Amino acid sequence: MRRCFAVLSASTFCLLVNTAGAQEVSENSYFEDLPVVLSVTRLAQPLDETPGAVTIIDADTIRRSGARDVAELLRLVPGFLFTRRYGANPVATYHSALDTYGARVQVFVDGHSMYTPYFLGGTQWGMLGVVLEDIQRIEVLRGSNSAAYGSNAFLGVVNIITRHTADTHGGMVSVSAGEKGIKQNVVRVGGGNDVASVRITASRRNDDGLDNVYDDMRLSQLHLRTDLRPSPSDELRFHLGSVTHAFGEGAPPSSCNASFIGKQPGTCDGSPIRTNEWRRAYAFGHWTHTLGADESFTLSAHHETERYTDYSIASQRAKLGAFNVVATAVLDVSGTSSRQSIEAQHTKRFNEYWRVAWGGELRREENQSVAVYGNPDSVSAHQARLFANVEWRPGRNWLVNAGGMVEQHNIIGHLFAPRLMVNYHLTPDHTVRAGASIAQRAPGLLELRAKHDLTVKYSGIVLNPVVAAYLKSTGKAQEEIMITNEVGYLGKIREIGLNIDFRGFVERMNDRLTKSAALDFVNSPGPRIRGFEYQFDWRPLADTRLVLSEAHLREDKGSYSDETLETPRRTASVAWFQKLPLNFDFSLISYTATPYKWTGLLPTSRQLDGRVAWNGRFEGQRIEFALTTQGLNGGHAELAPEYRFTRRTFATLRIDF
Amino acid sequence: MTYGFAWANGPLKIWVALSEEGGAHAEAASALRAEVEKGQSRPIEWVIAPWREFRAGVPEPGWVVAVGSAAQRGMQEMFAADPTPPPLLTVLVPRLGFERIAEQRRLRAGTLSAVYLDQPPARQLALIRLALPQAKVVATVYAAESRALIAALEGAAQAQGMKLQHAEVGAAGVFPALQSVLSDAQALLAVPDPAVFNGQNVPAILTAAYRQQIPLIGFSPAYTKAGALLSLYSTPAQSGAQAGVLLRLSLSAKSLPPPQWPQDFAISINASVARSMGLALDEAALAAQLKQRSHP
Repeated sequence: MRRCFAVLSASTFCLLVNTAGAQEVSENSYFEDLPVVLSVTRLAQPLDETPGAVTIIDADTIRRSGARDVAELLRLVPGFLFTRRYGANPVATYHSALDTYGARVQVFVDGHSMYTPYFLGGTQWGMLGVVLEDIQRIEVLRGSNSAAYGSNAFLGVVNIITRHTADTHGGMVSVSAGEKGIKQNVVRVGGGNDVASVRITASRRNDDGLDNVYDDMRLSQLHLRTDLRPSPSDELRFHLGSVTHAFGEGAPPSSCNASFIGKQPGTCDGSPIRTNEWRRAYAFGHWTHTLGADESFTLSAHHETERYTDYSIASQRAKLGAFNVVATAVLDVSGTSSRQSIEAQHTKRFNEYWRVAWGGELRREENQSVAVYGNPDSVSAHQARLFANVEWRPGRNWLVNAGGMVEQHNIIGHLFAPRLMVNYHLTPDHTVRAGASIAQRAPGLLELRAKHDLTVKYSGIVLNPVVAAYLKSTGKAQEEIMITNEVGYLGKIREIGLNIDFRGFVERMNDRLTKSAALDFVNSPGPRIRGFEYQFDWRPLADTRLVLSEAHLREDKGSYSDETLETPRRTASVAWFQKLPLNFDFSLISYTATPYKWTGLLPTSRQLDGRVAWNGRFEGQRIEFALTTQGLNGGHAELAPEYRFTRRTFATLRIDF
Repeated sequence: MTYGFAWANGPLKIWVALSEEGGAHAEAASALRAEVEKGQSRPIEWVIAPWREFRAGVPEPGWVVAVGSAAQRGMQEMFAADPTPPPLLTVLVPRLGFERIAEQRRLRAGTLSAVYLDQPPARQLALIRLALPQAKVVATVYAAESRALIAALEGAAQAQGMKLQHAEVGAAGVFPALQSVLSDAQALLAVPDPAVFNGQNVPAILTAAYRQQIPLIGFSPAYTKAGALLSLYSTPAQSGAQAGVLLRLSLSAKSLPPPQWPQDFAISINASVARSMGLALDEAALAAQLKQRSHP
């Protein structure tokens, strides 16, 4: 009898196997030589050997958290702050609410940087543009990491790794519906073998966002990923996809003192209610070539385009004697952007003492917007960077990481970001760490090249149109610098199932970029943030997991008196994950932040989320039914005091087949 | 004419038929010989050779040892027509392979026995319990050939308070079966089924399991080297020595006891994989604990 076992060999998809011959059970299986598959360079670095603090959120935690996007999940990471920009744009950042775009953290999806060159290098859409069900794990590097990840890794790095397509064969359908307009559908199909696999994920998500603000959102995304293994030493990966995020912004007209001739009581509609749209299409590829058990080479290339639409007409109305006077201005920040990058990296482990990773990247970004840049031509910037990290083990318990990145930016010149980190294993389960780094953030095209004017036109009165400048970037903006000194401890107490992670830090920001009175982006001394944070991840029983994270922060002002308000004095999250009999499980997660300021100073916020789920199998299908309530404790303010996140419950049915 | 057990006079003649020359088979044979000769005053005439080189004829040997499955088959066939064949002890054979070709008649008569190469299921699962105390579900995949292994593994898992999640590899290949069991599992147990766990499949199986941070438990040092978290096995010398003891004790009893599981075993750990998975394991300590469990 001959049977076909698919996917046995790298060169053929189907190897015919004679079950009566070579496949007979014998001692040969015991004495067969096998190739080294998980060589040291292919294994993930243990957390106690990383040159910095790392928190990992795995797929199980993601599923059981009830979170609806990556930014929400990051509240589980000590020191992370979260808000929703105008309600519909979830943003997460580390330690300080320096901006509402998440521009000072770097987000990667499968190794590719997910910032938006159009607006200040923001990452909020990068975090939205991935389907949670596809994520294998999220590695969060707490603290600056420009030396390894380039100039956007200013406060921290969020490394999102999606599942290998070989692990998502079959289909998956997930349907959620609930209060506050929550609707979310995800459909995924995948197939192939271990030589070639493919996956397509489509997702739609709607919700009404926060209370007291027009922020309804509709998010549609389509992602395709292919993994190929043309030979045992080569892995190829291709990604292709698009994301469309349509979201409300603006506020209803309100009474004001209209400012045309003197101050007149009237009505202002400064940010009209509208629906904006952000579209992104991307393609990227990644090739890893293994040159042996201790050496590998990777090459990757990335291309993406974005189109942003935000057009409205602002107005002020007032009665001037018998006349109804209206002043109007077109608000248009619509435009397009594109960026490309190519990167190569070589990793070699020379012996048990030395390992080196080095490489380079070329990157180009281009924006086009008549309204924002004041001319129909596109503006562009390009960067070339070289990076290297040397890992040295001078003794059995010592590990030294020394690295740096040199970047050449065509507008601002050279940048250099070095880092030194020393890890010492007190025992195999207890490690202390100390180090220092200098990180850079290069200004984006908006900060360098914007020329954004508003033309105000009048009716009901004879007045010439007035051109009012809004942004006048002179191109003198220089890089921001962050100097970090840190200590850390990572411990495992196996007897009781407890993991401890501690980080103490002083982060001094130099040359912070802000918009000046002259409407330019200028550097000025930035704040100094100091404090400590820790996480206890405890599994007292096989079915119980408790995670306590807390950060104590202080911000000393640099140039602006309210900088001290950008950092809450304390943030904390407590998560309880519990498996129950009969395939039930529940989780309870609470987040707290003491008062701090995004666009407005928020009072202490508390959010309690709960989720109950039942898992089952039915004729080979896996079924999960979950009920999630976010904001069980009522509600709290996000972004500004009047924007309220209030209780919402939604149900999710997920079937894997 | 058959001499049967008539060895009272003259040297004792023992054939050791090897499936393959050299390597593990020769190592087992020399360990066996050393063990039999311990405290044995009677001269022994050893014939140690690949099984194909043996020819039926007179005088027949007093005892036959087959090292490996091919040798077992060869030696059984050689004496198939013989109503009183010399006792045959096989070593370095997996239980399934042995049982598949063992002559029932000879098993009952005590003229056929074995020291299995595979580890008893209880020991395998006890090791997983010791090394991965948090593990609740152990996964495995197998082909139709090895179906018989599963019930015993399931029972052993239950005895350790764990569940065995298993899937048979069908026409669709190893991958779908593997995916169907990995999702809930905390460990993947390799079984010596050559249709599933072979040199061509193991790289894909190992990487798939590692992506989900599921350690593979192997059954030979090669698995540990390839990237299994740990492997549990008996070395050829351990198997040969156990067979030697068994044979020495049987010489006077003139018949063989029922087949045995291996007594001695070794554990090898891949330290890099263990570290990467955040596990602290020690080969010697684990082996000592497991031995204690095996012989309370």
